[in-house]
This record gives sequence, C-alpha cells and structure tokens, in this order.
Amino acid sequence: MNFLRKKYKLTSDEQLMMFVQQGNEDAFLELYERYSKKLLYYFYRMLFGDHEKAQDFLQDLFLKIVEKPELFDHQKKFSTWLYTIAHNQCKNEYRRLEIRRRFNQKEKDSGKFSESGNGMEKYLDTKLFQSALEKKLYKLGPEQRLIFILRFQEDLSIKEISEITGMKEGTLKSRLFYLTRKLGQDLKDLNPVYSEV
Amino acid sequence: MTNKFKAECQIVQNILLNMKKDHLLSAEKSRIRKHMKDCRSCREFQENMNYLRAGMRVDEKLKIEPRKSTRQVLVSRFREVHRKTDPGFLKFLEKIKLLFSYRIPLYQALAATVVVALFILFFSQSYIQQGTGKIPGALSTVHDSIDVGLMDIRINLNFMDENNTGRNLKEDSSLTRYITTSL
Ligand SMILES: [Zn+2]
Repeated sequence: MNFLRKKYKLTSDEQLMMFVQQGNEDAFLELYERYSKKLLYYFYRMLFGDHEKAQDFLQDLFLKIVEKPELFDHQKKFSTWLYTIAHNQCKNEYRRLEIRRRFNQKEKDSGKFSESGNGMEKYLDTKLFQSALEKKLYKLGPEQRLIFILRFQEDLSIKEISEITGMKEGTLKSRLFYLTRKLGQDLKDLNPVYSEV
Repeated sequence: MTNKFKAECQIVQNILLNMKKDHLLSAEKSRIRKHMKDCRSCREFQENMNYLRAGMRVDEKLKIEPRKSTRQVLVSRFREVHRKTDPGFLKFLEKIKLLFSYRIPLYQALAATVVVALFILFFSQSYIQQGTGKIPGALSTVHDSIDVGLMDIRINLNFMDENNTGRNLKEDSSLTRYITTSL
C-alpha cells in the first residue's frame, strides 16, 4: 500500500476518484484541495453572494462524494460530474426560494427591478463593473445564470455545459449569444474597455 | 452587410463563444484576425466576451476561503464511512463478488446434483414399491419352483453363491421366512 501514500499532484481527477472509492483519504483531500475554492466561488455567485450558504453548499457537495463515491461514472470527466451535482444543489435551492417568494409575494413588487442603465454614472472602476455584473447576474433566470457562470467564470466548453445541464448544444449557444450581447449592452457604460475608447 | 459576410460573422462568433481561454488553433486564429479587421460587430462581440470573462474572474482580493471546519468534518466523516470497509473487508467482498461472477456454472453444477439426487430418490422409491406390490423377483422364482426339491430351490435362488443373502433386506427376510417355515 506504500504507493498509495505518495503525493498525488500529477494524478488525474478520475484516477484520484478511483482511489477515493477504495477508501483513500489522501486522494480525497487532493481532490478537495483542487476544487474546494473554485466551487466555493461558484456557489457564492450562484447563491447571490451569500457567503455562509455557499460554505454550507460546499460542505454538502463534498459530503456527497465521501458518502457515495460509487456514484461517479468513470466514463465521465470528474469536473463535469462535480458541476452536475453542484448544479442540482443550486436548482433545488432556487426551487425552494421560488416557493418562499411566491408565499411572500404580496409585499414587494415595486420599483426594485427598474434596471435601465440610463441614470448610471460612468465609473471606470473594474470593481464597480464587477459588482454591477454580479447584480445583473442575480437578476437572470436560474438557467441563464448557471450557463453564464459555467461559461464565463468556470471556463467550461459548450459541450461540457451541455453534459452538466442536459441542455442541447444549439440551445446553449443561442442563449449564450443572447446573454453576451445583452449583458455587454447593459453594462456598456460601466465597462472599462469601452469607456477608454 | 452582405449575406456572405454575415455567415462568416456567425462562424467567427461561434468559435469565440466556444473557445476556452487561450485555446485557439492557429488556423482559427488567423481566420478570426482576418475577419476582425473589417468587422466591427465581431470586434464588439469579442470585447464583450473578454470583459465579461474578466468581470467573472475570481477576485483574488475577495479572499473567500473554504471554512477550516469543513475539511475536518469531511475527514472525520470519511474515516467513519471507510472504517466499516477496511481493505481486509474489501478483499473479502471482492472474493464474494468473484464467486458470484461464476454463478452460471455454479448453478449448473447445483442443478446437476439436484437431478442426480432426484434420480436416485426416484429409483430407490420404485424399487421399494416393487417389493411391496408384487412378489420380489427372487421370491417369485421360489413360488414357481415350490414343488421342486430343496436343492433345486437353492440353485434357483443362488443364495449359496451370494453369501447367503438376498439382494436386499426384504428379499433376505422373505427367503429366511420361507426357509424357516416351509422347509
Ligand atoms: Zn463579423
């Protein structure tokens, strides 16, 4: 069993997962190191910047790997599988939030969603652009937010996103085209690149 | 904008949309560069892509780190889950699995045993029934030769050759009864 104790820096995710299935703790921790931060940030953005909830979701996700490593299909890429689980977690959360929102609907239907950019000051600050983008993101539909984050934050290919979400590649492409144009247009005033031109 | 130009736009934007960071084939690169020179719409699209990507980049200053307790929780849960299934137990499981992977030949052997057992049972049953219903083979010979002398009976029964025994218990006892009562 000595060979199992060596460092796993060069081992592929899929191989590590095989070791995890055999009960190898080091292999599991290596996977945790590789993905925990990335996924924390993913959850953070998917859950409207709720830091605590993102932390909880991260823990739940990795607990699933601890408890049911056999669910991993070795025909698949590990990262795709991981994002699929994360995707389902978020979908469930959105469903829960949607139910709660409908329940409390009577209160706020007012001017909160006036998102016309015409009154916005032109800041050249990237930070501000980022937070404006984040706000835009939170107003997107769950499906759109998800594919946008997977494409632009996680840098996954359309094929991978299609595997994760179960959406057709053609549909994904046209939605991403739309989002790129729409968000680009909406945030034009805040975009440092455009402001310089 | 001509239709031909639009078609090229679609191809270029498709490539842009699908490419991973800095993962462009050189053929694609030159195609895009050539097209971009004359196409403002595609230039804008690429810029959009770039700054959206930049905007989505994980902010180093934000410094969100996974909780330390998460790691501890996971490790202790991992140990809990795998304590039950230590390597020895796993090996045992493997062996059981291996055994079950041979289940078809095993079943065949089992089926064969059952068939043989049934055969034996059936034949031994019918043998006993023969004994109760009819007169046993050896005894019927005795019946036929009831008027014949002792020597002939002995010869007919062959029990001298067979060590004074019948072929089974019944035969044996019938013979004994015959010899002790009739002779
Ligand atoms: Zn073009």
